Amino acid sequence: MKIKILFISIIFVIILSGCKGSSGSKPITDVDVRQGTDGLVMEFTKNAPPDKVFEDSPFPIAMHLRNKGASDIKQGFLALGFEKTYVDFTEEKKESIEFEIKGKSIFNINGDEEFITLNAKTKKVGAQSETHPSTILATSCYPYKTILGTSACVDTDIFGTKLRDKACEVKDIQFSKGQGSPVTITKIETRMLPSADQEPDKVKPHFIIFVENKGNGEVIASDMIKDACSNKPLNYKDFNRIKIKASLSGQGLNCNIGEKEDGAEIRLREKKDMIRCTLKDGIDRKQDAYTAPLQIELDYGYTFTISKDIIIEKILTY
Amino acid sequence: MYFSFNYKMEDNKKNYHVLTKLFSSKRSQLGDAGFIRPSSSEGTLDVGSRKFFAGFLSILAIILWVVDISTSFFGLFPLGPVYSGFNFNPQDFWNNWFSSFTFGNVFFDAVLALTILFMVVKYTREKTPPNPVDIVSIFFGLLAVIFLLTNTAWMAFPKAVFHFLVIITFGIYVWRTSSMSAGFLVVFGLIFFDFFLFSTLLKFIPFLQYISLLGAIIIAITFGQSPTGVTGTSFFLLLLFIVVMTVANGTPAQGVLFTESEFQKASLNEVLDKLTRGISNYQRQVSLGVQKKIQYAITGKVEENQYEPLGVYLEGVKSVSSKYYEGEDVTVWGTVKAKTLDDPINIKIGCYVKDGTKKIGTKNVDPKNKFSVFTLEEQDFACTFDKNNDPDKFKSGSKTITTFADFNFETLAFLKVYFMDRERLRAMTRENLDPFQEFDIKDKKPTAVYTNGPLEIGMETTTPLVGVSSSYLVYPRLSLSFQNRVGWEGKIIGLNELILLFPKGVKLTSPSTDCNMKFEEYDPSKCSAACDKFVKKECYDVCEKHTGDDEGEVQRVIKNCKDLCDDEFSDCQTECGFLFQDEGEKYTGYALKQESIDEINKKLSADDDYERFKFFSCKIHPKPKEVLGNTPVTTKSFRVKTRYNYSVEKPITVSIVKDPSKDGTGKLGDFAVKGKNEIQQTIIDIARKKDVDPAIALAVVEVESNFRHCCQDEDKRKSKLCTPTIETDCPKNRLLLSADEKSVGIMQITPSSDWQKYIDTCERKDLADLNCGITVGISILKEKYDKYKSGLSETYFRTTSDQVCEDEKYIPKYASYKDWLAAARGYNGWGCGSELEANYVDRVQEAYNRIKSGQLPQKGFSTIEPPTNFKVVDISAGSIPKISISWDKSKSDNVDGYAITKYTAKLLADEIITINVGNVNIYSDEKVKYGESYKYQVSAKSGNYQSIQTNSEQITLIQQ
Repeated sequence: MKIKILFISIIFVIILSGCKGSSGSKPITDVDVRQGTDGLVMEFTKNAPPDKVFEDSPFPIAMHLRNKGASDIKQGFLALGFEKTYVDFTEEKKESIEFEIKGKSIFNINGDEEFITLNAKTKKVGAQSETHPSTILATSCYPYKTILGTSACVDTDIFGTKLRDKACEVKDIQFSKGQGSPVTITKIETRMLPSADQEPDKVKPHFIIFVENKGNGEVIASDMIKDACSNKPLNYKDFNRIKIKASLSGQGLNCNIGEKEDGAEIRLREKKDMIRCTLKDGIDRKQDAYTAPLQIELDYGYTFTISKDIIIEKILTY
Repeated sequence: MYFSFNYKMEDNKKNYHVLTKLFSSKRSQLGDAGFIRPSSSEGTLDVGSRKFFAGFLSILAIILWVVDISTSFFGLFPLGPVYSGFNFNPQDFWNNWFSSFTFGNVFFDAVLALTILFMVVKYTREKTPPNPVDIVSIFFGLLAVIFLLTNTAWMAFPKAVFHFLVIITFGIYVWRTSSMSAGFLVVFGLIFFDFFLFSTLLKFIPFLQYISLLGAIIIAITFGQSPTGVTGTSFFLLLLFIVVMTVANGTPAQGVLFTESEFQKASLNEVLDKLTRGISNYQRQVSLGVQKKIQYAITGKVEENQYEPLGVYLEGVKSVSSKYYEGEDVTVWGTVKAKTLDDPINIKIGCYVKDGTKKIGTKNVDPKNKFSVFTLEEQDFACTFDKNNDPDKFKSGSKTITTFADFNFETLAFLKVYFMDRERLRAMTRENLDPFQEFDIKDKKPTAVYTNGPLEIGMETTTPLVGVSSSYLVYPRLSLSFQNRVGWEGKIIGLNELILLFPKGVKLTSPSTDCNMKFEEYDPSKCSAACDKFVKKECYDVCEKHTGDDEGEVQRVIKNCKDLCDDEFSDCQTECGFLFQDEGEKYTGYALKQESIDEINKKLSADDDYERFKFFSCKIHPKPKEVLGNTPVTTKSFRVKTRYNYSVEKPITVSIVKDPSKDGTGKLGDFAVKGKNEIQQTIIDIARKKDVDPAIALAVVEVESNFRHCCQDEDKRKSKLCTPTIETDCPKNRLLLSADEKSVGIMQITPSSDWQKYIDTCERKDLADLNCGITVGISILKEKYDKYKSGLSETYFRTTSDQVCEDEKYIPKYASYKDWLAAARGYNGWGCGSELEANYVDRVQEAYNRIKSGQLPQKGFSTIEPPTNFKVVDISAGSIPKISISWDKSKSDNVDGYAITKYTAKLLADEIITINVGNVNIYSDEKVKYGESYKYQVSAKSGNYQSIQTNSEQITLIQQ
């Protein structure tokens, strides 16, 4: 009996979870392309390269690139690495390939994709060897943006003295679904703090923005993208550097510890970091609570590598 | 619905005791339910305990869910990030764990051992046959637990530890409420599912991010087993939560699309291929057993040849017979199998048996000469240890014969190394980025791969990823090690060549000083010269040793062989080209200098401990502009090529036994005689065949001829004048002749028609042939034995008309002869015309005594020179009788003493005395009496051998 109840309950749950909500398809404007934590997705096409290749023979390499994020990629680089003793390109030596792929949009909710194909050739394996394993590495480096548009409540009544009903309540905003990019803003904490002594009638909104790299690669400085896909040295400062721009109701927020409004940077640590952005001019205390649009833009480079193992076989003759 | 789950305080104490029962291992506390129950089919908990535990686990499940999704405990202290399990990478699992999870893997062995122990203890107590379900469930349950206990990275996550404890607790609950096998299976299933699969499911069912699936399972099962207030409430809340979250999450815009999976399953052919490989890999692993790695941690792994393994192997080595008698030829045979993909292998087969530390080989080997293998070949071989070849080595007992194959071989190895700009590497390290992970490099610690063969090569660099810069404070290093590969019974007997090949952009600054041994640059011309020396020349040498009866055929074979050598030489040169001129990726070669090779070979020949072979270490100098490609990480290979000589051995034990049918000497003794040379052995063999005592036969031959048959000079062939030759057959005019010129050959046979019947049994029907002479002589001796074994009476001597001795002084002696003495007398004749003739049997007896005591007669062919100028120098006539004799010493070098044969006047057999003296030339005999006559003869001795005796006059001692 107990087992039957248990069984029926489980079936009930499964059926319930599969139920559809309201009927009818959604309008296109309801599709939010700024979701997810993917940026560029790259993979080797099946059998290109094949798992096994004979020595001294050509074989194709095809890469399938898809921009599954919300930002367009302009001037991305793809670098292919071989074990040159055993594998190399054929005539054209394209070790760094430039590409451009558009991201998701309301007109293209899946994002663009591209195939990059080239030919390579295996060389001879050692005399006493029958096979030799080799790895092909494909590193991509591309610039990307994370754009978040949300609403934040601005409540100048920081001491809670006003008795009127407020239009909104200051609270932290969580973003678990991502913004259609590998680097995501996970949370924004809003703090309304009194302004400095010079402006006692003003309240300054502070937004603490939590950023996390949820992708499968690493963040690099946006001006080091090409170098990242080459053999050039990189400084530690070139890694995990993100430029941030934020605005509230169109007014730029100051995200710098310094005084400049532009050029604020985040340095990720253990793939995370937070930054505080404030509205420099402040808001009049007399202003009632209101909801204001908050826009944040992160600008960075991104790089990741995939690999494919192949076996180079010798044709044995006796 | 009303649920009541209030417990009174006093019940808590009871509950505590009940709780401990879950984990108790003492039988007394639970009646007949102990840690290992008599029967595993049903749970042991009473209803009350079940309900309590079910409720406890339900609440624990909820706590688990809350802990999973909380990052801090009510803001008081942090609980860490939200817990969602661990990523599951099937390939990683397979490569790093399951594919090697078989016999020989310590974890597999541990799990298997624990399972067996568990089963033994359990079923010994229960006295029931093992239940297969129990065995499987225990195995998998232990497997899961041991897997987590050995891969401990998860322990850094407190929430994962909490999950683990909850799973174990739940597993125990299921055991106690259902069965042991169910409990173990639950543990196995939940560990795997909760730790790994859940994260995968999360990718596809985002809804799962809101619930703890482990908690949900626990709640559902506990409610199903024990519906109580607590479990019912938990279950209801769970359902409600799922419903609410489902509605809150919204619904998908589109239905499920059925698109073909981008990940393809393997085809049937691929499955079968993998299966056969797996079986053969498993068999290889089981047969090799646990391999010990050298403590220096420079390792390598052999490249698995898909087809035959490379190298030379002795297979099917066995003895022709399971046992051999002493004196028989011992033969072993087998098959030598060789395979190479590069240089031809030149193989020399042989066998030896050890005598102490000395190795005694045999020349009787087939094939006698070296032979070449160009690709793959099998060749039968046989070794025979001739019975005459150190027969002492094959005395009765167990003997180990070692077959060996000496051959040249070549082993190559390569090591994959990664290079990266040093600044970038440091930057990544500083940013806590693992370059291997970042660049999706799965082979993080490449191991050197060496080609199959007897040598194992280990290689490593300072780090697998080398930071490259234009300047170095400390240069990175490349280290090599060589050792005998496990499973190869043999050793390296010489190093011929060692080449290091560095990829483009990596060099040694100073080859003679950058390594611990001296190297020099190795260029294509040296490579080509090495091909000429080690491939062509050696191959030609082997080809030229072909022999045969047909000269034309031999030349044809030699030519074909040399053509194959030329092909191999050409391939070797192509290989040189491949190494040095390969489309811009030129290798830089360095060869070990000859003086270093000689030093190594000297140590190899002196030192049995070849484990102390060589370690090499070199400072390498990678240059950034040349070694780095245009990509962040460059992969290059270091190569090593070595040519060496190896000896593979395979021992086999043979059993040598005494031949029971050939022991004993017949009537006069009971010991086995063995000849020291061919003639003596022939006499012994023929005597045995004729059922004649071999010792008496030898004694007769010694007295008759002293083992001489043919003489050097035809006019010096009479008796003592004859200097013997080693011929077994010679013209009659050089055959040994008796003093009276009547008897010939080794057994001094008087040609007669009476002996024709014996001559006809010979292969060569001629007394001039040694074998025939011996055969006829022994046959005659046997005939005499048959005729005279009972002896002849004195009356016979006095009354017969036959030509016998009539001298009364000898008749009693002659009449006393019986058996083989009578046969010997009959052989020589019953006459007593001279003293020499009369004491014939005495001399035979003396020789026989010596043979019986192990002193075999001297070799017939290389005689010891007798002493000369024998004389009596003093005969005392005073009160103390004394006779002194002297002689000139033998001219032979190896004389170690002299034997004096002393005869009394009566010359009776028991009065013949042999006196052994040292290497002197004078002797005084005081054991004499006045009035008696004596005779002396002297012979030179060397070990067990003696020269012929000198003659002596009879001396009568008279007191004056």
